[in-house]
Amino acid sequence: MKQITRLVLSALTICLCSACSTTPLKPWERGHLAEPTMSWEPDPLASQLDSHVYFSKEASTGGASVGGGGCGCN
Amino acid sequence: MIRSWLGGALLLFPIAAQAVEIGQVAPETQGPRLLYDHTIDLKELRGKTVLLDFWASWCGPCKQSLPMLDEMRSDLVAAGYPDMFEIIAVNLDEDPEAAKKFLQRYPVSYPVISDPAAELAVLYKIPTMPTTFIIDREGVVVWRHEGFRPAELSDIRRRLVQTMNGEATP
Repeated sequence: MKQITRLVLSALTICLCSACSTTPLKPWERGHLAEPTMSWEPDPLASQLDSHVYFSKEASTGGASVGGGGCGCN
Repeated sequence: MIRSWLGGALLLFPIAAQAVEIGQVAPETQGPRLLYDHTIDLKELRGKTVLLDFWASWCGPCKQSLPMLDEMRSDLVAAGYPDMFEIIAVNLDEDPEAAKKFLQRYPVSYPVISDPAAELAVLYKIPTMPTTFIIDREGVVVWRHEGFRPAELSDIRRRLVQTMNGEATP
């Protein structure tokens, strides 16, 4: 029983360690994420026109925009 | 045994880093001035209120904040506060050339420190971009502001003036 408890606790510890393996980016490390190529829509004007055509055809609107890249600052 | 395991497991969690707190003396702040060949040291500005602004060329709100802070600085100089304060910007671009290009497009009259290794950002533990600190005449951080929206400029100005006048900034 004692051995099983030890095994379970060891497995839990390993899981905890793996949870720490991904370190979030610091605010000043997000320069590459803010590049236009990282944006969902690099050309806002073209995507706006596409959306306009799409919503006109579908007779619907909304729910298609995603703001910013990944810098978390705009 | 469980107690010792729990203690060990808690140590595995990183302690959340907090930004420089209000009421703390500002950490030693110095660095090379961007576009010029000299070093800026915050200690040399003791006796003046300092607005310390961390920014980067890729940061969207910084495109608004830098010109607006520059305009505010000119207004305050004209309003009779020329020797009572200074704005110091800290640029965190990995490539200082990107910052230089930004400053050619959005020139500012206040000094800009280049910090490509983000040493000052780590020291101040800035939580977001941009982050602004107001440091009083004694070198104590009296206010911290995260992010920037144009509507917030009047609040920044009010707190800066209050600090210059030795008033509390609630």
